[in-house]
Amino acid sequence: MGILEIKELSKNFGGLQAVRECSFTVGEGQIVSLIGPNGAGKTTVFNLISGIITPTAGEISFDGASLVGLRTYEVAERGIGRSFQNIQLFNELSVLDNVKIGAHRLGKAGTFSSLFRTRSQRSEERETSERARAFLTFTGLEKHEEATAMNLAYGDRKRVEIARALMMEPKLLMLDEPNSGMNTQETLALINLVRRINQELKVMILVISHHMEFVRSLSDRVVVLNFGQVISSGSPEGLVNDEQVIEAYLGRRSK
Amino acid sequence: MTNFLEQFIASIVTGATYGLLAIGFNLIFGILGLIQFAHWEVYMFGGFMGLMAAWFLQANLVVVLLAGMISAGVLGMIIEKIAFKPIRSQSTDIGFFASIAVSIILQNVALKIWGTEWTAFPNLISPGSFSLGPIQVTKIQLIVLGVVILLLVGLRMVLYRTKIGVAVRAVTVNRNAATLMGINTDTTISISFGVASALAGAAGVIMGVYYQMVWPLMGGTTGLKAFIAVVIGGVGSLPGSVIGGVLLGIAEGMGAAFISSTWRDGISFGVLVLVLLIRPAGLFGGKSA
Amino acid sequence: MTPERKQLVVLCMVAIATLAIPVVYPAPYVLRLMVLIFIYSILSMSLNVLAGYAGMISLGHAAFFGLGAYTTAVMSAKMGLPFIPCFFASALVPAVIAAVYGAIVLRSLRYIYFTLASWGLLEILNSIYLNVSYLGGPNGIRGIPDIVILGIRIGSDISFFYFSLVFAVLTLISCELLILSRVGRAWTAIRENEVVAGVMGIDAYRYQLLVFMITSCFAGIAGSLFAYYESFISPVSFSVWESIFLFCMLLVGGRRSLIGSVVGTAIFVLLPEVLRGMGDYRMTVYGVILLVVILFKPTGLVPQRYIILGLKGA
Repeated sequence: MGILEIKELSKNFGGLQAVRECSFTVGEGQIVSLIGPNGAGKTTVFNLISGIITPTAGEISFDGASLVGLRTYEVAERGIGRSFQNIQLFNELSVLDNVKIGAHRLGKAGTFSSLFRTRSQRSEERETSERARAFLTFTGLEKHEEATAMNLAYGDRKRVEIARALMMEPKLLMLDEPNSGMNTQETLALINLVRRINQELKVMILVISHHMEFVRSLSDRVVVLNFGQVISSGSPEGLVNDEQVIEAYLGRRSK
Repeated sequence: MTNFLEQFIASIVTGATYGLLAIGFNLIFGILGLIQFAHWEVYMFGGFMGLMAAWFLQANLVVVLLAGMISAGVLGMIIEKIAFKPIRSQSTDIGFFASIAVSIILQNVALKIWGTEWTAFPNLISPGSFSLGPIQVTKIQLIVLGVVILLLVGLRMVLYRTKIGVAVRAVTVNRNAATLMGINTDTTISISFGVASALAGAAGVIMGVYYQMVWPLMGGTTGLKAFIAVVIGGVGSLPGSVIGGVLLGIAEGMGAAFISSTWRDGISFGVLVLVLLIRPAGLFGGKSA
Repeated sequence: MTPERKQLVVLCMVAIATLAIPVVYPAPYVLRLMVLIFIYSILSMSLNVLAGYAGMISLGHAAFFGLGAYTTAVMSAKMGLPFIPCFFASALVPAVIAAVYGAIVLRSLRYIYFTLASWGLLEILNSIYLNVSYLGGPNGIRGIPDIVILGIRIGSDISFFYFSLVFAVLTLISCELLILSRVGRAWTAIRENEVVAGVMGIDAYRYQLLVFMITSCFAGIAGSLFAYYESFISPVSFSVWESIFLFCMLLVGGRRSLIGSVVGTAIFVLLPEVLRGMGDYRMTVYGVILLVVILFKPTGLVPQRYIILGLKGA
């Protein structure tokens, strides 16, 4: 297990300062929520961690090693998985295939072993299928195994993304607004799922969400972002009364 | 030395024509994200229509040019309506192959009508040349260059000074936003296609006049080079296309004059690959790979 | 009967019918067409893996076809080497060129730029074939001997029929195995969304290079068979139009269906014969067919599902 450390992270898009000297940590076994109004830079922070974009300044380290400058797949290899705000499933593939792709980093089969159907390749394929089915069951999607990904309901597609991310056995799972578009019932189910992922699978979670109940019931800590800067961080309870947070979301209280 | 300079000037002339073709191609790519492979056949068709005007109407250069431009423009708009509009929502690869299909059809129809050999283009410009110091510049070269410049300036004025030009640029940058602003994207796209194709038609007539011949396969080789010009100049940059065309004309002309002409295609493509590797967005291109 | 069962039955019937052709109707004309179908199927199936599955639209596939053909031609006709070394070299040379070129080009060029770069490679190679006199220039190389393996001469149309059929089938099986494996899934992921594939731990560069090399290898094998069969090759068979021709087979036959590629290949090999009466209108008809298919059935005739050896596809 490791710790994710963000130190003075900044990202400047040619004049637009998306992230400004952002610092926070996700400790071992924790669930940390990243909240803030739209455009605050939350997804940008995710993209910086994933290696999709590179920071203008600052440091990102995981398990003591720096992630800055690593390619996306190298970050994945360090054990960081994620889901996306606007679902990025492989739409034309089946749910099962989508999830199986997630196991890539753990597999070893290459051209040679696949062409000659070696024993190790075949057992790896079996194992991948079994694990995929197991994670689909874990996320409650076992009935949809054969369905084409794009035909699923919105909420189910979000869960497929999570199942796919779990396949790589991440140490840290980053969820970008996993509950958006869900009703109360689905959100409760998701809260349970995330809790189980954290406790049963021992995965650290960094989640972006706008849903207060979601954030309050799950988080060990909350980090609040506005205009790319961390304006507050602490326990969920302390946040409700925090002036700056209220101002960020609702605007200044008229005196 | 004289030889060198004259070759240089000849290269600039051909290069300018590549640029004219390239700019139309770029317009289409900009507005639709589509590789209009059949653009070169429209060019060829324009050249032939100019030829028809020259033969049957005994027309002079201006009329011939207009005939080529208008017929090419109309053809372009028809192609857009039939082959590209229905698949606009799909991936751009499909559009590419659709344009290849159209290209095959047009090329072979032309082959059927006009045969495989070249057809002589009547002499519309009285021969003559001027001396610029030690070099001879022919009248044709000057006229060709003049026409190309005129067309390019005209295009620029349309794009930046007229309402439709603004619409074209808006749709190119952001189609959805343009629709929200009340711009009729379908019409705008049609018109862009028409203008781009008209420019191609002009290039066809120009080439016909310059080399005194047209032939159904002229779209293929020249088109290729214009394509390379687009890439060199930078996809998405209109002035870049022109400069790319000129540069390519020079590189190719000079290269072939002093290296065997059978290596021409290889050289052109070698240049293409080098440019792609060094600066995939081209010299002036904004969009990166 | 389940759909899979039905497919298997159809496949078996087609297989038996194919195998029986030389016995039932051994007209040289028919056999020749079938051999061309088999050889071009190797090309179209490998292109399907490259472009349909890995999403790399390469206009240079014919270049590797040509490399294989020229390697065989030079080594057998000019150097007098026997089948086995010629064949293996024809498979390796394209792979090596693909490896080197791909390593440079794939670092920075994707999508349309990769397509252009692949076209560039084809034209550069063609320039070489046309200009280097050792390679025969525009006249190509003739006098490629028959294949002799272990004392058996594969010279007649019938023997070549079965010989090339074996390779076509092997290609089908190999491509299928690769597509259904972890490697194939990586290719699919890259095609669908390169960034997300990276987030799954897939190194796009590495896998794109891999598929480029593997498919060029197949193309080289097809080239070798082509050279031996025709006994004569010239640059005209390896132009960019050949690459486009292959894409037509893919588009009409079925994007991402290997069986579809074979169907598409058959259509485009047989069409010239069917349309023989039309003479000059042939190419126009191709263009029209292609356009019609694109406008009305863009995924092609054969849908993506297929079944071989009890493996189900995706």
